[in-house]
Amino acid sequence: MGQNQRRVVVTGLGIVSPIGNSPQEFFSNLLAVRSGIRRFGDSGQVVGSVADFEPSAHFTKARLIGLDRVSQFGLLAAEQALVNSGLEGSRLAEANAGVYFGTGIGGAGALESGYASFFDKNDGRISPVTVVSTMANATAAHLSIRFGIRGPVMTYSIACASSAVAIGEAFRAIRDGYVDVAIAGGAEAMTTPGMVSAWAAMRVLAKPDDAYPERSCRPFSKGRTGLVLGEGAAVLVLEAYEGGRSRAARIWGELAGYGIACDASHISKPSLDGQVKALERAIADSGMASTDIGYINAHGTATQVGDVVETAALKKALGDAAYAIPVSSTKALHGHLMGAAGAVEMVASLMALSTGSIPPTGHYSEPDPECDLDYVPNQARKGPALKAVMSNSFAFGGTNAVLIAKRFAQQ
Amino acid sequence: MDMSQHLDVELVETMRAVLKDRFGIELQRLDLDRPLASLGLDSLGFVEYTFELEKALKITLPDVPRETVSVGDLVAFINAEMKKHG
Repeated sequence: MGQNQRRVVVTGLGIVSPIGNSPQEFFSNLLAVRSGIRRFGDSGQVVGSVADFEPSAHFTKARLIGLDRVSQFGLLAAEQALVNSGLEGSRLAEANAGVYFGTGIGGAGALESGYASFFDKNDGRISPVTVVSTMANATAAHLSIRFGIRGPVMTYSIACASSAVAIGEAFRAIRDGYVDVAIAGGAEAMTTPGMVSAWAAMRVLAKPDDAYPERSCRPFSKGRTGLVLGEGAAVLVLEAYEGGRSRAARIWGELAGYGIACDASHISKPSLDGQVKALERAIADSGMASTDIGYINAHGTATQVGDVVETAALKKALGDAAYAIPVSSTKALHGHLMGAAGAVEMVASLMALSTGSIPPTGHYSEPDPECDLDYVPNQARKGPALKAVMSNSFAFGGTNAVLIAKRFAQQ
Repeated sequence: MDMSQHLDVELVETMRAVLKDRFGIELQRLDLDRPLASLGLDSLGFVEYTFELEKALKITLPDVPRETVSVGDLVAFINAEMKKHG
């Protein structure tokens, strides 16, 4: 860390997910291996949906005009995180604050229903709020309006790495003094019939388990069949350390390292070199040794190739330490939240850091010789206090982002 | 009551129903001299409102003229368009 660089702490967490709408509920479901994966109507697919979500319980009819599900999730997660940080009300508007937000698609539901009516021969119309509901930066804009944030309001659309990059860029912006407080995270709501079909057409989705659909996603396990789409949002409130201290806010952890690297090789196939570079850069940025990391939340999508490449990348970047560090993919339980995945999995990682409990990889049935790390199969662990945690997010398009958080200690 | 007044009553009732169902704006009465600006819709909301009215009335409207300032103005505009297209 350079001399003029500030420390960045996480003072608030918020989440809307298929397995809980608070960090505590989400994390206890991870530890108890309770899956949020369900059948997606009669489509023959499974997804991780935010169950029993009733928009009218949270927003007025007028407020819902032009507010896609993705922005609803983002707003709810951010409100939770700000209450958690003690920065709710007008305090954020008075701060030098920014929004750093990720999404893969943006308002997929608004786009799909708009097109459905437009291409319907008996209708042919499209709602005038389709554009503002769909645009990728809509959620970030709604957050700025809701909380009066007038600094940088940024949207990162980098597929599966979107919100990891958003958090990493917010971390840098605070560390380097551009902003003092950031709402950082991501949201995704693409489990719409058209999008699920498009993913199915790519043949990367898990084959639903007929007897136990909730167990369809099996990262790192032999016989895994692919990923399961999920929806939701997660938000971290990041602050320069002085701010957090003066308000006596609870500190969930200190962001320590961020590494990013692009494969520059294939639009969807992951590459070892790109992932290794991102991992090495994150570790170097943190100033820590590989052996300091006590838990890795893997990208672990449960595709055949992805899990093998990530395993190889961890071994190459971390050396022998890779075998000693518990690695889990929580996607088995909440699915792949795409643009929200990095943020959701940072919530899992920060909860692990602050509680010392390590969430398992669910639905693990049989070792794969090419995936030979400690994946914490099916049972949570309560270990000694963790010093640092790492979260990986590797995107279609080749961008790899790695975040490291460490236990906060006054110096 | 002549025919045009009857149409106005039905139209105003539709306008009131759309405000309630789509926007959650509940009004006991929707007087013709009421300014549209007082309905609580911003510019984008008003465009969405006319879109919803098109759907409810099964018509297609051109852009609402700038000089349409009251509920009565909007009623007259929509009535004129409905007559044009029978």
